[in-house]
Amino acid sequence: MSGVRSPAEALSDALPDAVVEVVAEGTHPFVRVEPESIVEAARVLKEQCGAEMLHQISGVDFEDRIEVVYHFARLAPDPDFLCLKVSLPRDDPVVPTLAHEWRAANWAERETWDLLGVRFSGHPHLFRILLPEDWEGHPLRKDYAFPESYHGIDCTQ
Amino acid sequence: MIGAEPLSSSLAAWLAALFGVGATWPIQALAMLIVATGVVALVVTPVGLGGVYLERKLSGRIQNRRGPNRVGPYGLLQTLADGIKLLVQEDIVHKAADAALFRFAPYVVFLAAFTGYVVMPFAPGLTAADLDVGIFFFLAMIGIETIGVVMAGWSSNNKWSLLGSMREVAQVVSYELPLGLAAMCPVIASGSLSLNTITDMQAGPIWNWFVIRNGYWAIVMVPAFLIFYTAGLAAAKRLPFDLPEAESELVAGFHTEYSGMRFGMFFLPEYAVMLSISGVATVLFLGGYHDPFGLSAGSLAGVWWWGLIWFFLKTTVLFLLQIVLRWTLPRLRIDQVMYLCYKGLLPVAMACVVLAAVLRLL
Amino acid sequence: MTPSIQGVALNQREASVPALPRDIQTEELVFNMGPQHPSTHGVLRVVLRTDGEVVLEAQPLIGNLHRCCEKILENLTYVQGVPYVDRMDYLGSLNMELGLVLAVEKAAAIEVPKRAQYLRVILCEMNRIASHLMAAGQFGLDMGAFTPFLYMFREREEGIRLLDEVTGGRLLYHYIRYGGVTRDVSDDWIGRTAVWCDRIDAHMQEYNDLLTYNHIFLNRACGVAIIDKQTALAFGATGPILRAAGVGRDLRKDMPYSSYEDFEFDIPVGPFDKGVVGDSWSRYKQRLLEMTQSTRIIRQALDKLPEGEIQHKKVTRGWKAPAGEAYVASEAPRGEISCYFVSDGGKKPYRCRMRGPSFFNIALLEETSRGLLIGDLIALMGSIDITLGEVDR
Repeated sequence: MSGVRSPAEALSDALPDAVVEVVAEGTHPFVRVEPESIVEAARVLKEQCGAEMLHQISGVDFEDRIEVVYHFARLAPDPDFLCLKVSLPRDDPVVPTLAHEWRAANWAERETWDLLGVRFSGHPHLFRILLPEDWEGHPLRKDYAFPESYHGIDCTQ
Repeated sequence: MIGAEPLSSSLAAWLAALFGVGATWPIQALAMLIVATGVVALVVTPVGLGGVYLERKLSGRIQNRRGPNRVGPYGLLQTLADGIKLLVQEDIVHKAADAALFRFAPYVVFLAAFTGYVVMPFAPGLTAADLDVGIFFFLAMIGIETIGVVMAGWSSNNKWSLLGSMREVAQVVSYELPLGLAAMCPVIASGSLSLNTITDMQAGPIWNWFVIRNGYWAIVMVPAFLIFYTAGLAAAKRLPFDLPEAESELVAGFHTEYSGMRFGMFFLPEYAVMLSISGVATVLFLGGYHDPFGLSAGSLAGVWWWGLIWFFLKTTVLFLLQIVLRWTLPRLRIDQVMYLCYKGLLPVAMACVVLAAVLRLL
Repeated sequence: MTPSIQGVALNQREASVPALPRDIQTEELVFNMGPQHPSTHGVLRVVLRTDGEVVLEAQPLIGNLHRCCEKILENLTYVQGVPYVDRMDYLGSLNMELGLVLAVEKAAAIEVPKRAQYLRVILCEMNRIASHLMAAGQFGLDMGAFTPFLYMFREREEGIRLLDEVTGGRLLYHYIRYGGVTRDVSDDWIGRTAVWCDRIDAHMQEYNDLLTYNHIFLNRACGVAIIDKQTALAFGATGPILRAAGVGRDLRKDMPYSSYEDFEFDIPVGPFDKGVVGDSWSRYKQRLLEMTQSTRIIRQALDKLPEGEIQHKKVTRGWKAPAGEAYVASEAPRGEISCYFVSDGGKKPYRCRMRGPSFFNIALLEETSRGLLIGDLIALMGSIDITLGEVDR
């Protein structure tokens, strides 16, 4: 459409080294980028692809990796969702934070940390948001073991 | 001058005759005590049962529902049931509260609210005490209520209660200014602070009432009446001025921590103040216990039940208006409340006083 | 002991309110607007730091209603999982269901018959009206106006009854399934729903007279707690907040789903006739105007309701979605709900990441509440209109 480019195009031009994988067709087109370059990639989307709003940050736990999936919303022209994915190792998933440039990322990243254990380096306040502060473990991981009890409350029921 | 001796004087004379002594001050004091107790006892019942019931029924009808209709015929015994419930509720004085102040605060509020009734002329001869400074005494009692509220808010050891009581102080103390000034206009017109004298001066048909007296007084009295009524709403902590107990902001404001009959001691004075403000507004502006036809000045002079009916009729109209206003209007924010008082009502009230003085001299 | 929230000492956080001019030394109060509070619309905890009545900082602490919806969805089959998203925004449940179901249908390429799509539109719009009536009434209630709340509930009650007739539930429906909807509607129901729509439109005038243009209400809400376009977009706030701030975004128009492109309706966008763009009054007014548009949609859909079946493919208990993923967003009453759905070909979803609009909306509280009075904070929370179910999931 006029004036905006597709994420695949824009990122291949601007950050060719950072692009790992491009899926442009199908039900869910996305661009996978290197974790360290997520901030610049998001900036490219904002400047060249018309992404105005960070819509969602999701974390998905696969067997061999944890993926953090960013969805940006382009409002006009041609409203659409632009997706960036980042693959992280399961042992110590760290990715730079978007919270300084996209304020919506502040809470969304806190939730991903809380439920999946992905650390966002540089986040101003990376604390648990949904679960109590002293909760142990990250529940949305596939290998999460439910605790036996919490502060004396039986959790096995 | 139509009027009868206030009740306490008659009772003092009767007691003196009974005991065979002169009507000295102990007898008079005893008489005043009995009459005051009687007034409170006879006023608490209609205020408590009637006022609350009226509010609940009327608010129900405004809100497209019925209101209480289960307890007793047409729900008439609802307030009694609520009172019994409050009495049997556990009396919680939480550990962190300042126990002495916490316990004492409701009594201050209760006292202040109900003491205002002793100067109110319900009917010819039915005044508990005809004080020379009646209206001043009444306004002073409204002020004392604030002390009780502050005590309640502070002793609860709860920041929300504290906030509510601070708002109460700001609001009531500020609104006493336009309240007092608006009350000065009938005082200037009649030349006396005594509520009985003010009522006597309004004897006669409707155009003798201060609010439209002789036609030209209306330019002073109508605004004064409206200011008195509005400032009275604020003094009674009724919507749109119910910030001190704003339910949706402060849970319950200064009486959050009170339960059982202690809460009842806050709840009842609210209706008492509502009714007494309405009563005093009636006395000052709407002719007190005089009927609009002039019969109380002529053929039915001194007939106590005729005056009582008309007094309560007018007071009830103002009372119902307070209820309707509460359920119709949203709440003002505290800075808007202050703005309205100091930049809205106060200048107009001052102008009314000056104008009243001018009119009086003419 | 310095007060702290979540382990970070309060006085270390950015307090961008400039030092207020003081001639008396006063203390700051740290309040807890606890999980139980009449105007937090659910179990939301807000820690306030105030200087008297002026809020210096308001930090919302969420998570009291966290029920691990996403984890549960991963552990249940597809059919079993739909009722759990009902409970996200329990006031607009059908829209929540649609959010999940659309994503799975896109990933698995399930076609939905036209009649089912129209029924989805009708019931979702009815749910939207019910939700907005609740939100607008609740906002009035927070402002101290008790009566308009009950008047709005009068209409809402009738709408809920109609929904109950079709779906079997008053608040939580489990009506929208993969491939269509569960039950069909009768012609009689269609007639009564049209009558209900007329009632909503007729009563708008009553709400406007009693609450919207009330002088006190205008003073409380106009110009109060302005959320402008840049802030809303930065925080990912959507729905009435964004539209009242002047951004004409509505997914029903921008990225139509479920046959919304067949209907003619407008998107009310701020500024409106009173107040400032992005203030509390605009958000409230936007909801009222949106209700009128919803009745337009419902009437058109009822008129044009096509014949046909209501569920194309029976998604049974053991249904396996083909491997794949999809991200679909739809317009819920409080904003944009979306689902990022990942399937690995098994009987249970691999990942259903749900976006609750209120999660992003409530983050605005911290930013916008600086310098407000406590009464304005209540106006802000009431006009943002959150439901804790979709914040915490």
